Amino acid sequence: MSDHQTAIRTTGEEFSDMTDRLDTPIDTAVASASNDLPTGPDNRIVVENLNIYYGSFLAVKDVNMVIEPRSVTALIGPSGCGKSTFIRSLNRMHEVIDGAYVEGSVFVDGEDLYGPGVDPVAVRRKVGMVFQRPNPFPTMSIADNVLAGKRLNSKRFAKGEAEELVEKSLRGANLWDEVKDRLDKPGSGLSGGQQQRLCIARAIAVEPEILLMDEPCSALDPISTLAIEQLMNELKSTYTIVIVTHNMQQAARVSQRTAFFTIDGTGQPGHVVEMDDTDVMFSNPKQQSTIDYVTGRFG
Amino acid sequence: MTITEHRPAPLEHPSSITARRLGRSGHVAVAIGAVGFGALSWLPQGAPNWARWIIVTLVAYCAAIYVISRIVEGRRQALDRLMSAIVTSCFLIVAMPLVSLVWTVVERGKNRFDATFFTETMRGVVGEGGGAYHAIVGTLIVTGLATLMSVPFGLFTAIYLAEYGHGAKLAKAIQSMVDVMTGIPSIVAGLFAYALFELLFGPGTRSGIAGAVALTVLMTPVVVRSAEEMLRLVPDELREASYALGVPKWKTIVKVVLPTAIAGIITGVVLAIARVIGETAPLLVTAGLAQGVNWNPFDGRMTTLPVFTYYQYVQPGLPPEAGQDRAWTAALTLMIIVGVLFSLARILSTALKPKGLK
Amino acid sequence: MNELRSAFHQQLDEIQTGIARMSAGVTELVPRATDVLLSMDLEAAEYMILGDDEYDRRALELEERCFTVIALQAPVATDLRAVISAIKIIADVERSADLCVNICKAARRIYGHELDPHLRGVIQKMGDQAQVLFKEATEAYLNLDGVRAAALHDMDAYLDDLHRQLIQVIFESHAAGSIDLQVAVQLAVVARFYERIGDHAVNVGDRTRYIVNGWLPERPYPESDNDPPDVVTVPETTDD
Repeated sequence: MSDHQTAIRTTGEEFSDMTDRLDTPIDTAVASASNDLPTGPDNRIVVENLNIYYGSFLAVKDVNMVIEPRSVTALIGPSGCGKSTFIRSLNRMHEVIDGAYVEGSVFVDGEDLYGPGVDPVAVRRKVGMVFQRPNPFPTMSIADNVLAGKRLNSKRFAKGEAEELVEKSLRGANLWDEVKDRLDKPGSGLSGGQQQRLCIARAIAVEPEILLMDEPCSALDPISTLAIEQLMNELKSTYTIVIVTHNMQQAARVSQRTAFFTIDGTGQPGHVVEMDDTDVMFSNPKQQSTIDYVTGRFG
Repeated sequence: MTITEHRPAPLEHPSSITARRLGRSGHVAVAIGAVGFGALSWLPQGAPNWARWIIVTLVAYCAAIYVISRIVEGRRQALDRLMSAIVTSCFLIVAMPLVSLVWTVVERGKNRFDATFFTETMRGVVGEGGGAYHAIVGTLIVTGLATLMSVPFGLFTAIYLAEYGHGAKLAKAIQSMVDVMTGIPSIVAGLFAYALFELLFGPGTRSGIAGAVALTVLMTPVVVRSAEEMLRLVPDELREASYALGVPKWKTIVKVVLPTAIAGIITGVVLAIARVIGETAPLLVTAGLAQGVNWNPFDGRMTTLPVFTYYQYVQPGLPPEAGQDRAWTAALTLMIIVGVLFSLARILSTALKPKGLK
Repeated sequence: MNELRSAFHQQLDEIQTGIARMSAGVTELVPRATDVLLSMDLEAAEYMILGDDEYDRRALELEERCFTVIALQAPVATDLRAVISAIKIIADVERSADLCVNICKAARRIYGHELDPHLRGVIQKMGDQAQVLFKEATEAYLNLDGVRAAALHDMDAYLDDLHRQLIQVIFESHAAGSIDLQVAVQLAVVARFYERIGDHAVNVGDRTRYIVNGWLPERPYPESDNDPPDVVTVPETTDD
């Protein structure tokens, strides 16, 4: 071995501590409430030829999409283009409005939510929802709010089971540390961001497979918004999440897949223009209207 | 250069944003002057006449404040002050009869406001003595029964209208009928109840329950109206949150909507009670008059406070002052009960209101 | 409150680490290239020339990551400077890897021609100094150490001196007849390569200072923080 090679080896050793640092894996552990991921159905949502009507008015037409399990899918688009209507059809919440009905199918784990004999109430236990304005039940304490979904479905809790569920759900919503000392106080004493996390805890306490979020951060300040986005990042390892958002940057930050809805004119039905991986949608979308929308040249 | 160096020189022309003001002391002076002027209205009799004094004072005050403000401050402020004065005057004029009424009842009712009045009945009493124990019991029983009947009917109707109705023809029809029912004259309700019981049990039937039925007819529309309002006030987002958790509709109403609205509903019920508790005409016809206590609402006449007051005033016996005193005290008792009910309504409203509801 | 935007910060960290790894790799490429040149090891030269594909691939992948971060996360302030600088640093590092390959190609061209000890000595010194510069730049970037980055300018000045020295020795050797014209020209180009590697290291250092506090060589900080800079003085660039 020549002197040079020895010299190179020595200088190589000098670098070893530097490269050791480079080889140390970055701490990727992001706190996740449930370390045991549920096995079982893959919670994939398949939407086929979905048309949503309010009375005789066609609000959303011809939606065909696949929503992958354990990921975040974002629905973006201008106001009034049917995103909220569509997301509500995924747990049959649009039926709360009289005269609303759909044609087409929504398959969850192979079962059509709109098949004959399907109970909408049972569907909503499987597909949970979080709304734009935080809406904790004002007559109930924080703990009761979390348990409301189960209690109102006549679940009887064994001793200690209730507290366990409250803690698990609040931890899952990144809210446990902030409220663990005041679980019996009403939920109204919390800030907007905390109330929204309480609503998320309430939704996941029912143990749904899919979580729908209809503009969950619109009513919140920027820091609370980021906290909810952080939470979404953690929840996606357990739940399939679909989020409607007005804020394109939010869709870019949190989602893996994005669908762009639009509307051709007032009175026209909303429809999907393009759906793709999020980084493609925001760097190289295929449709011109998508490009116009994400670059802000829309309208 | 510091900030103060930038300050501009004082204005040389009159400011467009400041104006002369009639200060607080000036305002008070005008008020006192008006009061003194009003005292001139005593001149004809030489003795204080409250009503005349107040009215003259108010008119004088309105005129004076306008004129003086016009001189000192300007046209706009003068007009402003005049309108405030007129509004205050109207309020005081309206309050006058109320104050006078309360004063009169208290002054005349205090004579018999004693233990005897509240513990004895009129059995065997012709002149002095006696009490309204039986009337108080009667009022409580009849009103209690009326509440027991009207609250369930009213509440369930309200739930139908607010939660299930939604523009259905039946809902619209019910709402129209409820509106009509709120306008029924109380004697008509009484005659209806009397006729109903006559049909069922024969002519001349008088009973506490018949009176309760008459009061129910009067109470139910009030309960329906206020309960429906309260239910509509519950925000839709709470219902949606409950549906989204997979809770059926009826359970949502029972466990979420009703508890949220309960404060307002209870307040509405209490106010409905306060409204019917003083009804005389229907009870005259249905429950009638008895001299002693009747604990059984299904059998026989039962005296209530308003009916007692009426008969004591109209048939006072000898000496008449004794009867009239008893009437005034009964009226005072009724007023106190209504006052307590209203206060209860306010307390309940605050206490039961969910903290989170905006 | 818990950490926010952890996924985003993780992406930034991964980009920084990826660049630092690449840069550390180049730090080891330089002495190997010097060794290839001085020991005339053709096999090693081939090996290194083929290995450049890996660096090109890695550079492209890191650049795409930067692109994705800008498109999806809308970074601002320090994060934005970090990502923009990362793109430029990737270019500097990848170019330096290419320069090492060029040194190996030059080694192939002068194969068979013996170099006198004086020449070898200066070449070795240039190689060592270029390596030290790159190592310092890598450490400065990895730790975001502006002070260390600033020191690179002086070290590069020494490298420039060595460059002038090497050119001088090449002339002398050629005049003395120990190397012919072809070899002399190749060696002069190699000298240039080493000097360019040093310049790239200095660029990495300058970009690091930009990430740390927005410092740019064209716009040095004014004397006082309160007074706005009224006159911008452009420093003399040491260029030859």
